[in-house]
Amino acid sequence: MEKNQVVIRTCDLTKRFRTLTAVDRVNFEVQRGEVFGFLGPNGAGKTTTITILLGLVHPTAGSAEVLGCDVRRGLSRALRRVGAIVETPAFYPYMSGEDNLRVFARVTGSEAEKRIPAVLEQVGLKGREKDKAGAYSLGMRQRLGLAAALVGDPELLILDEPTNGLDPAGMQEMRLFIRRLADEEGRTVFLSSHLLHEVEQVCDRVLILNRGRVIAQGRVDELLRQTHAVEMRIAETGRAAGTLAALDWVQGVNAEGDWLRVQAPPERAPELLATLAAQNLFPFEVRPVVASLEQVFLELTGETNTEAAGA
Amino acid sequence: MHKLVAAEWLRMGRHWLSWTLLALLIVILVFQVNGKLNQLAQLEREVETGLARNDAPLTSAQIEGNRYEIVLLQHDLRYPAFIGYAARLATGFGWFFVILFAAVAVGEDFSRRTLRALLARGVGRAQYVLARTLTLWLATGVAVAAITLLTAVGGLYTHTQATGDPVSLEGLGEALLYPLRAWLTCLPFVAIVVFWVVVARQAGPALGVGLSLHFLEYFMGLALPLFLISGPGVEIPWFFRVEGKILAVTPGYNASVFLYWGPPVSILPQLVDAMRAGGATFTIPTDPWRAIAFLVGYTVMSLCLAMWVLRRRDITYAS
Repeated sequence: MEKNQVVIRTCDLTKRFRTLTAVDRVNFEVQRGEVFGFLGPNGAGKTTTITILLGLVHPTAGSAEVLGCDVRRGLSRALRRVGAIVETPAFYPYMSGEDNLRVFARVTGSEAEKRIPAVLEQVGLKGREKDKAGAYSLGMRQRLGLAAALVGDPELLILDEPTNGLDPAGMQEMRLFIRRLADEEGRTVFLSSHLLHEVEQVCDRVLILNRGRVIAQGRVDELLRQTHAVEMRIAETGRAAGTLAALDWVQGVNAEGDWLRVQAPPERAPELLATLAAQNLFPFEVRPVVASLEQVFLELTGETNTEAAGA
Repeated sequence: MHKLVAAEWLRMGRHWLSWTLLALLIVILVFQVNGKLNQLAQLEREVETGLARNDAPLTSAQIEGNRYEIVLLQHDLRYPAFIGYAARLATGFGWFFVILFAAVAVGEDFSRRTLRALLARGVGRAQYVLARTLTLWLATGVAVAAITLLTAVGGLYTHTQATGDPVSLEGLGEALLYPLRAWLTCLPFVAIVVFWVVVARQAGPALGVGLSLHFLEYFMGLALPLFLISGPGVEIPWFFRVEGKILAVTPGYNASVFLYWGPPVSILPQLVDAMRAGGATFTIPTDPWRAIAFLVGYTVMSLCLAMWVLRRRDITYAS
């Protein structure tokens, strides 16, 4: 299949549990071969959306397609090409890690069983595969969960908080592994996480969900650019703000004391300075403000929470 | 479907409870058979000496009763009828164990959340219910086969202990029908338990309902010989009449009727014929075809309801 093909598409996807709207008219598309980050604070509706995509929860309204199959009809065919971890990976504790994989591989098909040694090697569980899964640490269970997701050689991986319980080295390893799955093996990864640093490093595109609603989505660099700014200390803040606000590529100017915060890409700071100089305005100090995804996230979720509280 | 059954089969084989219950069932059976052999020896001693265990003299009616019991026990412990007798004995605890194991095995898919992992792999919900039921039923088949093999060998010993006759294979086909029927009776029990687990989403309530109902059937069944056959003009108390009507529609009673292919107690066929000839009638239904209809009905209804409930539900495990 071609790259840029849509593997997940939702249209006004909604799920209500009695009075609670867990997912509210969510629209997004995931392209083949990309790592798509699904961000949101606890209770934002991430896991509910994932369980709808996996056919575990029935949507109340709207539609969703996974690998071209509607979640309401014929999803089973598509799910055979999907590997997933939802919340904490589930296993039979009285069976070894390898036997647990064998159970899931048998469900998928005979070819999957042959992949078990390779997958165990891939996730770093080689040598511990004969141990009972009940004796595994949380980190090992996450690895086994990833192995179970990979054993069917899926085109699409849906991973819900896959680095939970991993130590910093394990998290780093997992990030590289996920990136490799997309870059080298051409798999699409739908990664749900609340670890913004992780998402920023791994994902091509992200979607931010809060209170069941999409509050932002796009390429990571584009989202970051939205909150990039240039801060400067200047004498005549009022005149300077007016001058800069007149520039069509400046998204906004806020004045606070003798400081101006100009919503503009930091790389265009020389142009800002030239414009001010043309008006005989010379800042004492200029500094770029490069936002992290965390700032974007906090800003956006903070805004929506304030709106919701005010409503 | 066969892929899921293969996966489930692996899990059953690794589950400690499956082997523990099988071992326990075999041990219980050995004790039961040993008890029957001791009982036979005691009865023979009593008939020979005319004295009871406490050395009290027996009446002629008691001695006649003992003689009847000896005939009955020898009939059951003789080879190859013993294979069928052991299968019937094993169902006593066997059905309890089937309920217990089915509830635990299916319940853990809910409690451990492995159901979600299976469904997320494209396993259909109806497929899950059918595959789970089928695998559990096949697992009971392994237990029945193991017990049959064991009794086929051990039966040679009981035969020599119970009778002095040479061993023959006459009636082997009929004797083997009992293990087969014992295995078939496990299916409705599995289906009913699967339904209750799906409804309750855990093993506990299903186990409670299943075992309570089965215990009730069991204790009601204990009173069965008292009012199973009634002579002309004999008034049966209303309580027993009501009990009989309830018992006649329970899965346990119908499984027993099917297993025995008639009245679910060890009665010599000649005696039943003689009582019928004297105008005695059975107060509750003992037609095996009626029992089959009930068992099939319970199985189909339980599976359909389990599939319907599971299809409608969201698998959320919301905290």
